[in-house]
Amino acid sequence: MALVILILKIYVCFSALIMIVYTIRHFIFTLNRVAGEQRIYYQDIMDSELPTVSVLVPMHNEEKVARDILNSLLGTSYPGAKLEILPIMLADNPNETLETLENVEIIPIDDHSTDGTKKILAEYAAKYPQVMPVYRQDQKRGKARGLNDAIDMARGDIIVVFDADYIPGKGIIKDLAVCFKDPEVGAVMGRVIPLNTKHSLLTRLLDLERSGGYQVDQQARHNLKLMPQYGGTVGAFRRDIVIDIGGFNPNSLTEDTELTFRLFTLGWKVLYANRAECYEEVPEDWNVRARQIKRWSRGHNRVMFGQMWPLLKSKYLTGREKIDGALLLGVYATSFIFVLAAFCSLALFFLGEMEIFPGILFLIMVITYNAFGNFAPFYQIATASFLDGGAYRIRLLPLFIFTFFFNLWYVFLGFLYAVVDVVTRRKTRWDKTSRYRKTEVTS
Amino acid sequence: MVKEDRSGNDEKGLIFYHRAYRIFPSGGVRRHTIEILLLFLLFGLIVYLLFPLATRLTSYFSKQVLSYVMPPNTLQIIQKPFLFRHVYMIDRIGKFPGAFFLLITLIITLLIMIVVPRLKNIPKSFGTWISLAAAINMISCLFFLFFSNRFPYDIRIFSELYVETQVIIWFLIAFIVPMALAPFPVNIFLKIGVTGFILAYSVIFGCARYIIFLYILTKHSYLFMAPLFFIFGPLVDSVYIIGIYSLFISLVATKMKGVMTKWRWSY
Repeated sequence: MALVILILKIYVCFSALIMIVYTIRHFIFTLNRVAGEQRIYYQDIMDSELPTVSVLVPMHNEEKVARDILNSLLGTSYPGAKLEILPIMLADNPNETLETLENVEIIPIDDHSTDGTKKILAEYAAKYPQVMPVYRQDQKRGKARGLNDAIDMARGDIIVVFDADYIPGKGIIKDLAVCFKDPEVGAVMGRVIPLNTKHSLLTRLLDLERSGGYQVDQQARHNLKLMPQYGGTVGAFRRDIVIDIGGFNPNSLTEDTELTFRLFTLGWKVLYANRAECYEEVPEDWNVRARQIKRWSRGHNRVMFGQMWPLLKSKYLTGREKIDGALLLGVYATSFIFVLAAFCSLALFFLGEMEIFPGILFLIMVITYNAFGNFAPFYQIATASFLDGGAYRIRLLPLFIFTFFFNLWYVFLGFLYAVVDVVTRRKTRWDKTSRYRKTEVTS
Repeated sequence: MVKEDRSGNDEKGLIFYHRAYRIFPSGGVRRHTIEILLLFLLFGLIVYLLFPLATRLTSYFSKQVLSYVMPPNTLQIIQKPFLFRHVYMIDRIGKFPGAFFLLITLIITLLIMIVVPRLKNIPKSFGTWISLAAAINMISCLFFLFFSNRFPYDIRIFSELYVETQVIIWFLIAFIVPMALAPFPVNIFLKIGVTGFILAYSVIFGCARYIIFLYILTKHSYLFMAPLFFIFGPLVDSVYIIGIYSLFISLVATKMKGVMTKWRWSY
């Protein structure tokens, strides 16, 4: 029994140490963002020879949002492209359009939709020649599979990806694509901002969380030349690299995280463009949110199991990048570490071994501070919201206590699923996030 | 900032640069670090010097309040050494759960665990919280059902744990609050005021919670000791710490909104 108690105590101390490391990491990011030197992105570069771009939009039953994203993309400006004029001039002759269109093509990927998505895409394809849908019915479903098919037919040097619920701004494609003038850059990530913030407490909390994650976390990692993450949407990458590495892993639920690490370990850089803002729809329903974070956790942890070793032995990365990469890979494993530590604490409590109490207390406190607000601590979210110009919404911070256990539980479940996935090598199935939009916002 | 011009048109009086590269005007990383260390030294010293007094006052008030619901001669203030000083706490005879009470509690707890996750009008986040609290209570019920005689605590040991926890929370406040306030462009005396206020609030809140915990444990049994500690212990402290902090930051943000001279941009 004495040995068991010793192991429990050591584990609790180990967990506390892990959480302290994450707390320090987030504090360094926060301080860097407000007081450190900011690394400016390339958005002000003017160049007449920008790369050609293919915009991919994976879609599965997206009739509520499909028109919005297509209208937004058709309204974007990209030097050299004649998006506004071509549909009118060449709508009757699509083949002519394909040859003339030099810079941008839009490829919505209809992935086994059973609603009106297909009809909407056909309508836009007929009207706008630069819209060239890929219809997937017979192949296996999944975002990674859909992207691979579309990349094969895309002609752009750069692939820009948007999820179907996003509303891209007018200049965003140029903002994302311009960084590829730098030959070291393999991918870039823009900033995601919730569109439906005012719907409920959940959407407001998610808005705060996103703010902390992008305005501070991603920007600080960009400033410090660490590892900003390509997030799979509002992002871009070089087409030839992804083809060279064999495309996206069809069994991955977080193909974006996997791409980030594969690029870094091969010597490419991933940038963060804080200026490239794009609006999205966040889950309005707790059940949908539960499925979403469980899926993220499952996918991210699978990437952790697969990419940790290549990351650590990569000859292209500095020690700092490796440490940050390892912490980034481990971010969804912290819930598992915590839940296990909580069980250990409970066991120690009933065994009357609470002389370690200050240690347990410290663990609980540090984790609380670290985990309030999902993956960004409260001071990081407050700072980000402050920088964004938000005031009243900062007062919602204490309400993150309600999402603390919620996130903890579903991220923990996601970790367990990932372990089973790795052990049994079972195939994963893509679980699409529900859409809520009732009226078009771009009409 | 939108103002109306003479012709009655809405116009922006001031257009800021984009928020993407907005930064705070004051200080660098070194200055913030020094500020955090200085404030921690100041408040750490205050906590270290005053925690015996604070725990003594907590025990005194708790005894006074509990005297209304239980015989005063059963409540005893004791002391023990802690961090080379003394902490004060209350000792009293506690209560083990009876078989019937235990069984009823177990059934209710199980019902909560089964029903709450299925209720559609309760937000899932809140439901998860309740379910977790119920799960800890269930473990406690099972422990008392099978190993009641091996329960390792009494009120004195619980009081020791509670009071020592409280002292460590005060030290943590002395470190974490200045750390969280450091990046913001606010006068240092305001930061000292906010940290002091949170500490004072924590002493009062800790006293009120101690009274409630003691009442539950002595009147309704040790059965609830685990859920009280794990669910309503240090986790709840975080709520008011973050609550006061966020209110303050929100007020500062409101004051700075639209004031060009208060901001800098890294362009």
